[in-house]
Amino acid sequence: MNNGLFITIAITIATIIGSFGALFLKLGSSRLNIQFNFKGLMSIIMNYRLILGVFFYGLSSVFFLLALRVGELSVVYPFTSMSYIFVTILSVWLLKERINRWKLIGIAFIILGVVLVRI
Amino acid sequence: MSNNISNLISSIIITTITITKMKKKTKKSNKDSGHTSIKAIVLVVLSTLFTSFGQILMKYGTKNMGSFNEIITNVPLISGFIIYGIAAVFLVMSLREGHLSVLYPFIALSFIWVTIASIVLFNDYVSILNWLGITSILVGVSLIGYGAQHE
Repeated sequence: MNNGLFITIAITIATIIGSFGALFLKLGSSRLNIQFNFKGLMSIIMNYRLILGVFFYGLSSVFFLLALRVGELSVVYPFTSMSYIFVTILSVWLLKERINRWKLIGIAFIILGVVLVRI
Repeated sequence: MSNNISNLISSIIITTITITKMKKKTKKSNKDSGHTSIKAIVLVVLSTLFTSFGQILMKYGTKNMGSFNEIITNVPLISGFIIYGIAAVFLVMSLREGHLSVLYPFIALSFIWVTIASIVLFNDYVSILNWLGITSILVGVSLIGYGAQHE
């Protein structure tokens, strides 16, 4: 497998897993019980959505590091802005959030910006 | 007479039911449109500030880490991790108060903070294209914020 293909696949997997991480953090966050006592602590520890979110973030950084071993940071990093697309798709599809043209144009600007900052 | 009273009672019951239904509906619609609050945006911006600070500390820490001993006594590296943890707490607190599709793109702000810090602290060179990128991220984040308030 050539390097370009390997980097593309590794980063695509990393961003998809990372997007699910963000999704699960969101799902877990709405079930938190903010109290400074035992019950509040347990609501954090036993919150499997939150734990899954952190786990997915960790897993995505493993794939990210795999890509970084082959490619340079300036090449690898702009690819991670795919996560903005995946998170938007996931939040419209699974969280039933609404999207409008301002948000879509905004995401396009951010992706362009991330690519330019890391050039 | 009894017919009148039963009519009155049934109409009262019907109106109370409709009012409670309407109340439920408005409550639900309020929650649905639940515009991402300013508090959520402030929290996510704080989270990106902490993330960038953590990243910079970690970058500083990775300069000297050869042996295991050097890693666990590496104060910048460890404090970088702790600050990352604080950033995660802010992110989760923020996500409680708003929509993921609005708040997630704000994470791109950390690129700006890191770039500014690398100019100030490490004297890194920033090209015109990089500045255009920073501007583009700012425009994008502003548009998403605007889009979130005008749904």
